[in-house]
Amino acid sequence: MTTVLPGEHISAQHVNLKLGPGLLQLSSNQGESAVVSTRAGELKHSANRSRWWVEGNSRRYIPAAQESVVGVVIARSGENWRVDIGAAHMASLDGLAFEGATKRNRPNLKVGSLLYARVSLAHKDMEPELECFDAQTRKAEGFGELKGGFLVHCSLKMCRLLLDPNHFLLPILGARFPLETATGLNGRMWINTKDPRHIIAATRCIEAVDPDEGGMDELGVKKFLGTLDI
Amino acid sequence: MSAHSPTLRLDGRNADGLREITLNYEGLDRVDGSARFGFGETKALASVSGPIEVRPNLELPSQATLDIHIRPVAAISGTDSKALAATLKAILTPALLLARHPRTLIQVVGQALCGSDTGSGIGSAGRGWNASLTASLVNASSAALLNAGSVPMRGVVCAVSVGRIASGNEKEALLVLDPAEAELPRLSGSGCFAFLFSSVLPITSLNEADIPPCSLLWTNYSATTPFNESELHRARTLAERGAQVVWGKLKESVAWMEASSTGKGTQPKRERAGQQQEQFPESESEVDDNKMEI
Amino acid sequence: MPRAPSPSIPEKEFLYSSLKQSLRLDGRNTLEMRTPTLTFGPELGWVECSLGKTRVIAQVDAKMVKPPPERPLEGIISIHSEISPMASSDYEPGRPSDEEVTITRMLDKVLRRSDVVDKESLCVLAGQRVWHLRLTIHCLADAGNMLDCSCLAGIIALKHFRRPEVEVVGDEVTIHHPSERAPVPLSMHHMPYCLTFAYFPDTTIAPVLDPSRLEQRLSAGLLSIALNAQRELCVVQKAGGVPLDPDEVLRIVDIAVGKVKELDGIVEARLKEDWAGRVVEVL
Repeated sequence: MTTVLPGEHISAQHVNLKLGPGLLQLSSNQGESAVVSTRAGELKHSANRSRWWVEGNSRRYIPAAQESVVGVVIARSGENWRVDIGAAHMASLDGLAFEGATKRNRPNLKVGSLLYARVSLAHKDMEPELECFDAQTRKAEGFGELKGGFLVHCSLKMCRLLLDPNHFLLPILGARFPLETATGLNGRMWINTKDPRHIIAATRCIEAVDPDEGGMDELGVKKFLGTLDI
Repeated sequence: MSAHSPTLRLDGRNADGLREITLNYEGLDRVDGSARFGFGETKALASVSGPIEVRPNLELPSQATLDIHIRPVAAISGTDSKALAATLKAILTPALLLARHPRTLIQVVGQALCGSDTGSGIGSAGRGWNASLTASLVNASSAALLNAGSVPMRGVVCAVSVGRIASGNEKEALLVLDPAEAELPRLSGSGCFAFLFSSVLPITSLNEADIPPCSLLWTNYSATTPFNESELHRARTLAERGAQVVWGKLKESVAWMEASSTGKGTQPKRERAGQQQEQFPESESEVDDNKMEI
Repeated sequence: MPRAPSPSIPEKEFLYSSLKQSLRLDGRNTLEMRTPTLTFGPELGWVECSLGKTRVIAQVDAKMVKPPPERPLEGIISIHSEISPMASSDYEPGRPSDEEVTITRMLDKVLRRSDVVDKESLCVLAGQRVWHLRLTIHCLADAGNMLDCSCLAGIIALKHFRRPEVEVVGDEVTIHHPSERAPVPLSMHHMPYCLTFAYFPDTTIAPVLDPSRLEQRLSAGLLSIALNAQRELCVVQKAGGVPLDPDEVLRIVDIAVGKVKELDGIVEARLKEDWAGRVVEVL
């Protein structure tokens, strides 16, 4: 494992070099350009060494286009909704950015409604924009209002782990009780089960496994689940 | 820098010896990053939030607003704390790529965890920011920024303090690294030196292979008697060596950053940090057992 | 930073419905407190106290001052408790929120006005020299119920603190540095603790002790009771919210009595442990 601090020189060279999060091409004082890390974490690259990035954890979401997020409706402004996605700026969601929505027929959101949405526009100088349908098919594909259930806050790395189909946590939980989840990349996860005890158990397991909080491993979670009231 | 005799300093350190460095990532619940840094008992805590929503009157159209609050251990922030906040802002700004997040706020809170002679009843607690405490505060802020991971950085700022012991018979004043509180009365001058470590900077003579080059960002070196350029140069050289040690400590911490916020107030041992790869050590599950009871 | 957005509808509905079944998100019982963790600093009168993820540092220092002419025989106690954005970026320095004002006022009532420290014992030379105790509360993280955590940290810091020994010969006052003579503990009348109970809009939901942040945000009223292990009430504060039956208040006071005894036991044990491990150097 190679760890880096911000400002370290990265010897990434490739004809088709692609720099991911945490890396930046800067020109040094001598006028040469060099790849420099901009965050602390683990330096990673793809198998053919063409893609490089720094894997670190964070709690603050920076919107990036095409990422799925869980947001809370904060206000209505004209035809649009203002949605809090945990970033520095409120995101805006067009009232018609839902599958099959028309001027007459659109979802009835309220202030405080929870949404699963896709970031359709992210730029540092502009407000992020959301859409609740798939960019190609314009079908809902799971996006839209999330009713019932509960919202769990976790670190951004935890979200990425949970989206990995090989991660151990969701299968362990799923073996104990049926559950429905929507994981946003913004450090928020919506969970729904029939019994509130199961939501509480799932919430506490996510918190325990979160590398930012407990970093519990598979065996630990199994033991931990045994102590919970489910 | 040479150290002539081992009894030079009260705690037996060499002139270029730092006190033991402690570094903990605190995992404070409602901020994006937090860290506690200490040279011996001279400790400071810092937290970072951001990029977050900024109040319209602080908003800058082309870059993030860096907002710094400094709090002494006793009583409320006075002018000295506000002055230090302004200094810290000047120190941290070159290290941050603020233009990457315009119209947002990056909020840093620095909290001193000790004062001069706290609790002795002499009434000086929390008064005055000595050079070592300032250095701890700078390093804690840097570590908190690393922990937050949400503010892109050009490099890392590390700081150390240098003290000056004027000796009557020698021509040159003796310089010591990282003076402890007990040594302060013996000093005839001191100062904090803050360096930016970044590979975009030109390589210096003191450069070591695996540490990026650094440049001096700020110092408040001052003495009660006049000093010349060469003394300042010696102080800077001494400080640079010390800052490299701090940088090494921060680098080492990246590997255990995440595991550290779980063990409340305990710093993983050096040996453990080395072993720790993807698996978590046994002690981790013990910590979680405690959590269940809560 | 403008005020934090209110919790979403699903969070609100889930919290209420699970509390109806007496389930709390962190697995506690409704009348269970988060066990406090205490860490003492190298100096006397420095304590870090946490209730779950809520963390507070309290620090006491003393200096000698001339007393005001209207109270020549009493020492002075002042409490600083400004909340910094470290606790949460929702707190703005210089613009105290309602919660901050409540905490400041409660700390004043519980730790100063309830006569915790014997003020007359802080007088060194009548009309000339008295001790001025300064208690500073730093809230590091707000994960709910900062009030109880602050009061707890504050009272422990006062109990942990020792002031320097002084010697008065005629009009001469000599302060002995802790390294010369062992410092002396403050003379304290009692140890009050503050306990906060949260009530919810639906009155069929039982009140919860030591509310978490979400519980506090969604509560419809807080009842804070400060009392000591000798069953003496110091403050009962209920600022607005749902109306309560007088019997309900008495029932809660009864519960609080039991909880305070437990808490007092934990605190005494930790103070003893710390004192045993401390070497006071006297030359």
